[in-house]
Amino acid sequence: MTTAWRWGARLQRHNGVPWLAPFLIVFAFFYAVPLARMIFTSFDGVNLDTRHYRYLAGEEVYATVALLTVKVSLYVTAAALIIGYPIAYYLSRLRGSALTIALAFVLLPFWTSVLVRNYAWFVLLARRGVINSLLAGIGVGPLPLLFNTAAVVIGMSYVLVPFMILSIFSVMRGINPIYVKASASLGASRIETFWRVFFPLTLPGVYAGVLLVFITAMGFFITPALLGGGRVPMIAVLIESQVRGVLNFGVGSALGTLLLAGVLAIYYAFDRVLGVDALFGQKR
Amino acid sequence: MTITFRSAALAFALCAIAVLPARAQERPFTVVHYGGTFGQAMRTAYFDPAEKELGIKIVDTSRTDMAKIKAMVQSGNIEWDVANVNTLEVGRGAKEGLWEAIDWSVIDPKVAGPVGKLEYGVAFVGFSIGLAYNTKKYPSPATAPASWADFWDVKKFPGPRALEDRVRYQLEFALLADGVAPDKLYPLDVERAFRKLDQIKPHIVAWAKPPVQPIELIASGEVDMDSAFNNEVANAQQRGAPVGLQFNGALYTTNSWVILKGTPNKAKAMQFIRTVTQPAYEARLAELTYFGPMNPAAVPLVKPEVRKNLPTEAENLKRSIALNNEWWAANEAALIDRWNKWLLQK
Repeated sequence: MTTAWRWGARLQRHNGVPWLAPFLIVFAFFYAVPLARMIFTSFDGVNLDTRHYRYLAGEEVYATVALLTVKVSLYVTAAALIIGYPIAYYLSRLRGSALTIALAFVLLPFWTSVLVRNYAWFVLLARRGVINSLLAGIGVGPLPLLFNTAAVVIGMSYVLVPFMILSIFSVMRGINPIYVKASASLGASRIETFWRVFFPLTLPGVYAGVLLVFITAMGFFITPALLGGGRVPMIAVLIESQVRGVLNFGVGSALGTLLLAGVLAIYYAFDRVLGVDALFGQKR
Repeated sequence: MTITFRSAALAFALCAIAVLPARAQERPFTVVHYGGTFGQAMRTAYFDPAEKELGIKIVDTSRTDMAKIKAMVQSGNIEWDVANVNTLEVGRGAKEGLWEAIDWSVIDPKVAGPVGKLEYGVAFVGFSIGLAYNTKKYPSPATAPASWADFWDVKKFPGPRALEDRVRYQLEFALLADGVAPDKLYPLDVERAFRKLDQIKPHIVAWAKPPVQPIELIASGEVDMDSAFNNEVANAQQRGAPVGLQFNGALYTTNSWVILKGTPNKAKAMQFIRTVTQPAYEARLAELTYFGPMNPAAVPLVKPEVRKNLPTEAENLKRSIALNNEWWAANEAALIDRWNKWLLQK
């Protein structure tokens, strides 16, 4: 046997895990190490002092920030689901070049700067912007569409809907159309077929999309900062003002660690109730 | 796929082999400023001529960020040599040990004008921040808001307003609106200022990010009044934007050069500061930006039509109030936290 063959066999026994090395290097240096440092800083380094956490717990306003962050994230997830599900369904019925073009429309926003996409909402929502100009034409006074929670929810939903669409679409594509046909041939109405056959089969995609969108929304910064005009303090905006304004790295790190803990808790809850395997289409 | 301990160990071992120590690169002399039109003007008025005079390459970047500077000095990884900061940051940064001491044997203290010889900074420009308003809504100075009391008067001047998203300057504006005489402003009555700010908060449509967003908000018609810097207003007026500035009740403040502690280029930094505080340099910047030069010898060199718009011009200065740098250096840190909490409240 050749040496190469024997080395190959050795590596194979490790199930290819060593090939993860490049990814692990990037992961360790650009993600794991900075994250660990942040958690370390939140406890004041080697002092292991919880004073930053006690400070946050002592002020009512920070609880308000946490609640606002969850509230906005829930709105955004709901909006993304309501908008994204029908679009994913429509996409799953397309074939050939129609599908390619439609997918391009969904993916195009990913190739545009997220800052530009947020600024576009300024133009639409401003007091003298496009929407208000149209409303003025029918005699409705300028509505305050910008610099409030509504503007932030709209902007964030717009950015996150493609994630929801792609999650659900990829699952819908894999559903064998024979199930729908079988259900119809057994006498079920279209609504019954959808609700009792098709929809449950799409749930893994829905779960994945909801989890992805909700967790991303929790940590969002650009949209609340820009479209909120300082009036929608989500947790990422608060972290920024602590680090850059107050120069308090300790409190900023504590907030970041709390956000991480919160998101992990959500993921754990998701696993207990639905099972993470649900994301991959396997029932518990 | 099962991940055994041996597989994982092998993977990490490969990672460790692949890690090579990064070689420190020789970085060019770097100056950081606040960006925007100010930064661009400095490139033309300061950095390009200074490169020729000193024979070194000067890289400029934005935006001065006290948090970043603190991180740099703490970690020893200094990316910026000289920084343009507001003069009140000189005292505040000195307390945190962020600046090198200025070598006043190399520079004449007179170039720092009325600010004078600070231990850690050299003042080089003065500018004002005041009430900016939409000139389409208030075309004549007679009908325009004339003071901060007018800004707070929502009956006489109804309409959406904005203020900056930070506590600096706002406390003075609130106290002036509440009737405090300019010469009795400092030390600031913080409680009174926050009570006054509570009154205007429901009418604030947005908390603007300085220095440019206040202008954008007025130009796009989002708000009728906010606070803005005189150079941004002057630049906007040149572009035809409908923005006017009220010098009455404006706060006059200065910017300084500081040297980051631990920089390898301290000698070059001193030479740089000495060069750009020369009269010809400061006069050039004044003509481009409408900033008042600190160097008194620079003022006569400025073109007359620009000179009368400078915040240091006699008429304008009379109506402005000088910001008390010492008070802010001592109190800003605690106030930022209080301000952020105040913003979060309904």
